[in-house]
Amino acid sequence: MPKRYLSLLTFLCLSLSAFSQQFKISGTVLDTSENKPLENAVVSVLRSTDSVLLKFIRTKADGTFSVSGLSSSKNIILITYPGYADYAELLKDSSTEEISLGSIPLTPKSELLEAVIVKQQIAAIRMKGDTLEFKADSFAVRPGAAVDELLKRLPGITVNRSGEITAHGQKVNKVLVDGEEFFSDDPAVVIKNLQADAVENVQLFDKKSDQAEFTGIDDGKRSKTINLTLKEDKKKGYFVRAKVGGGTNGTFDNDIMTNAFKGSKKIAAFGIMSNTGREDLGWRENEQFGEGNNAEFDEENGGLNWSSGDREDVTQGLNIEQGLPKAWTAGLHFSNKWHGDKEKLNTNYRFYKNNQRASSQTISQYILPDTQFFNTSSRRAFSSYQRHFAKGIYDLKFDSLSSMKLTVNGNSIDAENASQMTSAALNADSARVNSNERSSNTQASKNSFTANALWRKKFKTKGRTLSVSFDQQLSEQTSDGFLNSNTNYFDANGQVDSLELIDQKKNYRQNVVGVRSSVVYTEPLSKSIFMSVNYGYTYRKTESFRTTLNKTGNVYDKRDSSLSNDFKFKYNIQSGGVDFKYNKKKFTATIGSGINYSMYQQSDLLADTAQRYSFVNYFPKMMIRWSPTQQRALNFNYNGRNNPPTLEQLQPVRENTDPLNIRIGNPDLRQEFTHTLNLFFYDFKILSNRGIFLSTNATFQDNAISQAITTDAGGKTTYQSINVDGNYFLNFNGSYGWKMKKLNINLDFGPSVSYAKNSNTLNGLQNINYSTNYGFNIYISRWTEKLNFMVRPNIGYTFAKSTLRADVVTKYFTSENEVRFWTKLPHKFEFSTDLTANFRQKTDVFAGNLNATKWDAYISKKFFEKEKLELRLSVFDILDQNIGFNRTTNSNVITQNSYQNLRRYWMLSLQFNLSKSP
Amino acid sequence: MKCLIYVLMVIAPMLLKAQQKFIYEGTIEYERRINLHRQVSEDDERSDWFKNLVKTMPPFHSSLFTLQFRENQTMYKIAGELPSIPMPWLMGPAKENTVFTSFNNHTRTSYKSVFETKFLVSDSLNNVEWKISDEKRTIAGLECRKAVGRICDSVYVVAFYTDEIPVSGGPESFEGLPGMILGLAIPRLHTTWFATKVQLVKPSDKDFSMTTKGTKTDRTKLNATLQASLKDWGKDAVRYIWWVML
Repeated sequence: MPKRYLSLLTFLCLSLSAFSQQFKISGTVLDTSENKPLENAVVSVLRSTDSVLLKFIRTKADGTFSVSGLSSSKNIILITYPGYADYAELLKDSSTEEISLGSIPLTPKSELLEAVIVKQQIAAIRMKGDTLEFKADSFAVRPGAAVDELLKRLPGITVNRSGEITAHGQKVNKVLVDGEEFFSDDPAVVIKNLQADAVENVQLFDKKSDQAEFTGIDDGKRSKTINLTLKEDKKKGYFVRAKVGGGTNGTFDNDIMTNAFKGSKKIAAFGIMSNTGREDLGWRENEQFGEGNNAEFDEENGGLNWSSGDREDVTQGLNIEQGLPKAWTAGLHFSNKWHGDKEKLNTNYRFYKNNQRASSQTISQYILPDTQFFNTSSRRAFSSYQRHFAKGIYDLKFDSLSSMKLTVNGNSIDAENASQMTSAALNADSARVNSNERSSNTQASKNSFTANALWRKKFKTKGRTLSVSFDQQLSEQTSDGFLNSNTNYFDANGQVDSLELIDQKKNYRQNVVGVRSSVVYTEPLSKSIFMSVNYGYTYRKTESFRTTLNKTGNVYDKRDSSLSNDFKFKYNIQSGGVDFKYNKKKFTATIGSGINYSMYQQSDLLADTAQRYSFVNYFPKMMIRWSPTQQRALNFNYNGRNNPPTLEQLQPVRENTDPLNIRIGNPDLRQEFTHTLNLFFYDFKILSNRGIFLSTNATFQDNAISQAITTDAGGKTTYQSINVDGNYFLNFNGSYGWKMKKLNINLDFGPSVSYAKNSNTLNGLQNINYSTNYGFNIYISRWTEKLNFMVRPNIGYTFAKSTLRADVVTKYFTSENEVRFWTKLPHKFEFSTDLTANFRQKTDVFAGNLNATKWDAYISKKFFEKEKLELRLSVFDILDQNIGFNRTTNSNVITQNSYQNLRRYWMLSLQFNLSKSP
Repeated sequence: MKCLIYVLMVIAPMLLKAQQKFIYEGTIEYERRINLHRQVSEDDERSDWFKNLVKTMPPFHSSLFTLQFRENQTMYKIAGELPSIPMPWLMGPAKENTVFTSFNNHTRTSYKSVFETKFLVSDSLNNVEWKISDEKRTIAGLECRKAVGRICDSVYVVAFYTDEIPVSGGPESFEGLPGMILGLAIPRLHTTWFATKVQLVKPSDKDFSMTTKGTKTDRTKLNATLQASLKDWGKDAVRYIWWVML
């Protein structure tokens, strides 16, 4: 039978080769030691020029093989059999189409053992375990030489012309770079393309077989390997940027920024001087500045932990009103890593100074049960702030399982403020109710210091972790100032009825000491269920000391005892909680609750009285996430929380800074409970560029802390916190977007709806406010290398009414529209323009023109290689309509605030960039 | 490396069995390791912030795959679930493919999840040109020989195959070598597949039944779809397409 097959095959091959010259190779593979035929030996035919596999076949039971259909006779024949030495032969040109190789003997490797090459013994440069290490710098090579030249210099290593490396007579099979295998396809490529001076060490070792490394049982098999470790400082570079800009209306905008890194060391500095509203580095600039990011990989949850609060805003802690700033900002940064990244240090310093001018007009409408008030006020202020801020973070990894992080923050603020304000209130008949004129001067300073230590430990059992954290807080605050206020109250005939004069000197001092500690332990209950238990304790003590002195004659020496006080507040909060987390690939759920017991104590040291309040608060939570694919997910969240009243709400410290708006306490106030529900769905199709996004939020409050507002006939308003029921807020947002592939335009549109119900009391009567907002957004954009644009029109409608005054309905349309366009022009020119147009419908109260279109544009040209220099001409607010504006509807008060803003200016700026990266 | 005129003999103190045993059917377990840190190249124009963020993750993503094989068929699929990472787009699509190869019919059917769409790609076996080298290494206890191939015009693939399994298969859609591929590396994707064990368990017919779900397509059409959809994605797109076309 087999013979018949064979002849048939031969016949077929012969008939095939009749069409084009086709070769056939045949032979028999034998074992030399026993002279027996070898079955299943692999016969591979390789192209002689490049070793490409052309054909392969396995030998039959009798050791025979025959490979046909070869277009050339000049091939390499490679015969292999496990445990036998390879046989390879370059076949010569043949005129006959059938090439018979006859018997091919294979030699078992066991017989070749005699030929083992004894490893050479050479003087070790440095022996590190099994590794021979050459310090690259000890072997001089010419500058700019590649690694192959370095290797040639090393004793015992040779490199031939085709890049093959031999070490101590054995061929090196692998070249790793920083331990990574297959950095390139070929060792020859690596050593020819890597600069020799970037190499720190050349490590030569015998790599154990994968099996041995996997099982830990040494099978004695080795292959020569070279590992190149790179110098840390070869990863060095610098970056410098300087910008000067000057414009009309005395505007200027200058900055300088530089950073340099060498290995893991990084040092950076910047300074900004500007009166165009630029006070800090932008997001991208901040990256270049290099404070680093604060994301951390969380192995347990497989997520990234973000500590966004780590980036301090220079204006943080400062109450800066809208206006015209003139700001100076400077920063310094240094960071380093050492000990194989086990220790990390990150330090930052910032300085900020701002001289700000502000002026604003406010119109408020107060809707009361029986009447309405209109209050108009105007205010001018000048403030000067100065702030120093320093922060240091030190990270230490003890081992792969435990780590510690220490953070310290220091902050010092000095502020001066002078303001003048006039206000007038009119009733529904436009008759004067009151008028007020006041001025104040304050000088304040605040110093604070916080420190945090966090220790984290992971255990061998996956998912078992323990973390302990300790925080300390210290702060002191002082302020000294003068208040001068003059209020006239008018009677029904418009005559001055009564008068209130205040001329006082005020001093204030506050000291805060606080500590907080917490322990969190997580335990895996099964492969997918984790339990987390936490306990925390917070203690805070605040001392506040206030004196108010009235003027007698020319000196402030008469103490006003109703406005002077000495309080001590103590907070003790103990908290605990348990969470269970179920974690599967497509489904995750968390359920749990926290509980805390808060105790407050307020001691009036002058009156020698003390009030104690204590609350037990619950924080249940639930989260469900179902994500069948990476692009589609449904999330549901529930959070419940008790909000205890603040001491300000229970027992405020009496104040008279604004004599027309007075706050009083409510010691019977209970804590409120807020339920928050959130449902979120998204579905993105990447291949068809289509996305859907839906989100619904609902908030319900029991015993919501609201306000009882009492306005007397003189227009003086008193606020007191009270508990009300039935407050809620609902909101829905949706969007649908897709890409018009042919035009390369992205389109997005969607509605938004929100509905709120809020209760309060007005002059003792219960009032329920309903407000509804409808909106519709459209977003059209196109992003390409040379041209970007986006158009974002939006329209909104607000409708608000209250039960107490069903006759007064507030309704208006607003529309906010945005257009942006950017394009590259020939000769390295660039053009960009942005336009924001806001339209607001007039209402009975707010009759002025509030439509404003802010339009900016610039044209720039870049010069030199790598676009080192940029010249830019920009114009801000082309139409000179940049008015500062906001309108808020808040239960029975509708307020519209307009303020002074930066208006039209032209600016010419020059920016210079210089950088070098490794 | 270039020509194999004279064969270098790798000496190993290994005892030879009188009769070599060949494995015709069984199950191979591969560990696939993706170097996540290198998925973003140094010259990537994305920000340092982004690059630092990537460095906060563990360097390797590791997952297990099985290849069941018998004389004329192989079936490659994921073993268990694909471990998730915080930035899934770093890895991109088509990371848990199921590939059925029939050497009798010279056909292959792959089930690939590419973003929102599941594709069922049917095509004939692709002809990768393999350069055979003389380098050898032992993987899962079997001696393997190195071969270098090329896909998508420019992407080099390094494969290690063993003579001891006379089935020309391998992970994903790699095949066409004289023996089974036990080790595979794609340097430009910074990914390796290495067999961790070879089990001599006879697979059943059921193990080779391929799903019929998914959007039916072939390699040419799939490539066209991807090129059209991902054209604005820059470097990521190129990498994503290579992955899908594996």
